[in-house]
Amino acid sequence: MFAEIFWTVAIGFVIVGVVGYFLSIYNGLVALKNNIARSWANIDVLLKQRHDELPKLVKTCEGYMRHEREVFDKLSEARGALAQAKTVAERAGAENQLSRALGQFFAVAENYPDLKANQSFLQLQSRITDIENQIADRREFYNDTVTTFNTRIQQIPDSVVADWLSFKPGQLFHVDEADRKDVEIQFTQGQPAGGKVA
Amino acid sequence: MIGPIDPRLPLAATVALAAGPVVFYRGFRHMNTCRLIENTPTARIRSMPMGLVEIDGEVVPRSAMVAPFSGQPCAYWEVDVAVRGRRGGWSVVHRNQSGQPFYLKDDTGQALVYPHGATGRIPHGTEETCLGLTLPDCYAHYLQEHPTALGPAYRLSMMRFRERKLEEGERVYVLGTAVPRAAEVVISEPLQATGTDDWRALRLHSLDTEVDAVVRRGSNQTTFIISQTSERDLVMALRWKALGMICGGPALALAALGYWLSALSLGRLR
Repeated sequence: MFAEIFWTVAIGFVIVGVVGYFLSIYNGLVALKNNIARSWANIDVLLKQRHDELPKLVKTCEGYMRHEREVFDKLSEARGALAQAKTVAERAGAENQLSRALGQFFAVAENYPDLKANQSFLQLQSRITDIENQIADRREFYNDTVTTFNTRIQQIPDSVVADWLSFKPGQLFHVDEADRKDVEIQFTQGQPAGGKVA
Repeated sequence: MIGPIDPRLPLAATVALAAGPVVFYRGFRHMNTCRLIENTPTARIRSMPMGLVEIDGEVVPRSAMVAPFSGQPCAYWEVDVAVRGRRGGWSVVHRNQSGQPFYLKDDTGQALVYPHGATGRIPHGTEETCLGLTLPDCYAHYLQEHPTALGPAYRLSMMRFRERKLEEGERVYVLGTAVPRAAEVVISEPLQATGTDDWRALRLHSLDTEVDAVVRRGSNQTTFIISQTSERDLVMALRWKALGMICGGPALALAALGYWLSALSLGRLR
């Protein structure tokens, strides 16, 4: 009888250990999945801030850059595309488009000395550049979280729990081919305070 | 033939029987912490999200502070005092850590870290053993200011004093809860009354305005680690500890149970 008690307790520890181990894997995967959602939402917070700064930027600059309709249109188009985007891929594309449009906008603004001397413009430029840097950091953070999750659900023993719960790999935030290229700036001759961005 | 049994054995077996499941459970806690560290990517300070966050960077002191035993300037310290037991082992009778915040700076920004309640993992430190009756002044003064659980009885035995500290410029890894800066800056005010608010402290306080966020022990997520070892080494150490406890806890409990069952079956306790 004493031997039975001993072996019952020993088997009890093994069962609790195995169940505890798989519960710990399950909880870890759920936490990681929520971390992905949180990382994505944290990018959204900054996007909202950037979204709110853009009308101020346009308002400050339109008086100086009357002949740069194309740049304003691109900015407005990219902002609209971002508002419409739903999936990770669409959002990534729209965000890259807006970052590119902003880069071109600031590059063109370099040709307007009066605008460059405007304090509001300088503050907005600094604020938007700061937000852009933070967005880049958070994209990296998001990709790190997704990579950790994707690695975990493919490794044994986590893959057993992941298969059982039908966890799918997360989608990474990719940079467009266009963003890998250098921005080329060409100035049109005879235009004293303007530029064309190619 | 059954010989006389050591009267301490039943007591040790009872303690082991109770401690085994606790050790087993704590092993799982360590395993969860290990997973939490692995699952949390390192964030850059300027863009760190609020909530549980993992950052690393260089330590910058926020106020002029010295370590209690060595008297060397530092940003954070932790000490423990232990007395030697009858069997030659050390038992810790007092632990303390500095509550003063310090800055953590990386290439992108800086955070203010409130170390209160943190689990410190700082490997390098100073250690000194001396007789309680002839303590050097630094230890005697410290013990007068911070009475230990033993009271004046400590003077009758050998004592061990350990000190670990973080100095300016050292790299540390912090896993804690990030909260917005604004609500915390006011806490710096009482520091003016401590007498440390000299020109250096004033200069350091000026960095408060550049702080991106505050990192501290969270109310919901209580994991808060300040570590000088790398994340990889920390995870490895925690994994081995967890494994040891998950295997060791049941082994301890089963050994104690085995003792009790055999003692009962042989009728030794009658």
